[in-house]
Amino acid sequence: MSDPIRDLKRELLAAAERQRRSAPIATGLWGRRRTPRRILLVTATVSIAATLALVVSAPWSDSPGLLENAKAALTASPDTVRHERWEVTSTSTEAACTLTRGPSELWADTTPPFRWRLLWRGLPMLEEDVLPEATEPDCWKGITYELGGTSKPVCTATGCEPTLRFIAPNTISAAGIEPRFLPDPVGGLREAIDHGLAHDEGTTQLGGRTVERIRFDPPPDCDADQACRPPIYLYVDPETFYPVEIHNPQFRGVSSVTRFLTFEYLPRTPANLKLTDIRAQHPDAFETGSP
Amino acid sequence: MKHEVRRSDTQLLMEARTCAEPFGVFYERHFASVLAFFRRRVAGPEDAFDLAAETFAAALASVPRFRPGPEPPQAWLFAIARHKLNEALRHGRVQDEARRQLAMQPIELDEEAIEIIETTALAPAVQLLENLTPAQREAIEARHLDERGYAEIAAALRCSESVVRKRVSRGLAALQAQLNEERTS
Repeated sequence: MSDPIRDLKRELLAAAERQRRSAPIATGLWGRRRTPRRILLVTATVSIAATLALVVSAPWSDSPGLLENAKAALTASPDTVRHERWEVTSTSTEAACTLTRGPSELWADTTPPFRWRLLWRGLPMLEEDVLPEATEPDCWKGITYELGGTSKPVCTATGCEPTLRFIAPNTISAAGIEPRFLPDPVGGLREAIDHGLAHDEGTTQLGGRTVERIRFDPPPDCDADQACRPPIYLYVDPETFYPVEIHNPQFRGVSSVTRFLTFEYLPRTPANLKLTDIRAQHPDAFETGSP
Repeated sequence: MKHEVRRSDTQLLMEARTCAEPFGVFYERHFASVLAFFRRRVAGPEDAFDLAAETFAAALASVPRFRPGPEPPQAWLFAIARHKLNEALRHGRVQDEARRQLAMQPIELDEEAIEIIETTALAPAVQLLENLTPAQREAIEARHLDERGYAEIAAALRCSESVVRKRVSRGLAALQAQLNEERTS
């Protein structure tokens, strides 16, 4: 008996299998296949945006006043450049090490096409930078990248502008990192508050200062691989509601604390816009098509 | 006895990045609604089936880029479906770009296959009917599925023709509202 729906499913599954087998190795932070799993998890601890984006909405929240204020603090007016500087201290119980990586620094224009530039000091994002002999990535000191791009792709007839990487002494090349993997610690917080994931836990003390604590819980039907983590805690300044620290409790043997050294909105002046533009920072660099 | 936990659509799409099977589950879960979506908008079942096939092929090709967001994965799927429909309307024919890109074989449709497509496309509508009040459902089934006249239905239901007309009209409005909700969800 001819069943087109079953036949189409068979074709799709065969195509899925072909697609899976031919998937590129280095497609981005979480797209790599050969990189040890542990690296990805540790890297994920600094990317709360990605973590929270994986968390499915649980429709509850309370203290909307505080949460609304926190959301507003994370929402820039269109004429600003968001500037974040942070460091991450991670502890691995399995590898028995604690170390701080950073500071990393991000300048992000809040006006389309949302140009950004990142100075990353952390775990490798590209597979070619992973040392083949490395066995305990949780204890690696980290690597420095300078990356730049736009959050909304700028496309022409010849294709879309890739994420760029500056390689000393004077080369700019396509980085092979998708813009959606931009490691911005606050990238997903607004959305997470919007989706009712945030829970105000009131005022507490942190490093001798008073802060507000916001908890982000995983949903009951979370994805076992990534989103079923323990709750993530965001500490915000009670006056400005700017982020102070993000605590990722231990998950698969690694915990981390992201500490904000700077969080501010700069006026959108030519000088500040230049900070978001990797080409403007290296006007004499040669551009190549691939790394 | 083993009870399999129902995986969420998000979970299926995330798992589909590394394994083919979850996409099959996702396909089975949503194929009928996507087919019904197209069947209501194009003239023939063959075109509706081709559009649904192209939609799922495009969804499969996008799986590596799928990122869970505020909207449910069905919204993502129907956004692809709407795009495919607009593309087909613009070009005057169903595109096969995604299926060619995935090297999928075309599926031949004989009379039997078309009957299956029509039945499947109708299934979500039948489900929608079940959400109506019994009186509205009875009136719509009699009028639009059995194609009976208002006078005949009124006699069978022992009520006036105007009552039957009102039930049919209200039932259709409720169905329309459900369909609109489905389109925007």
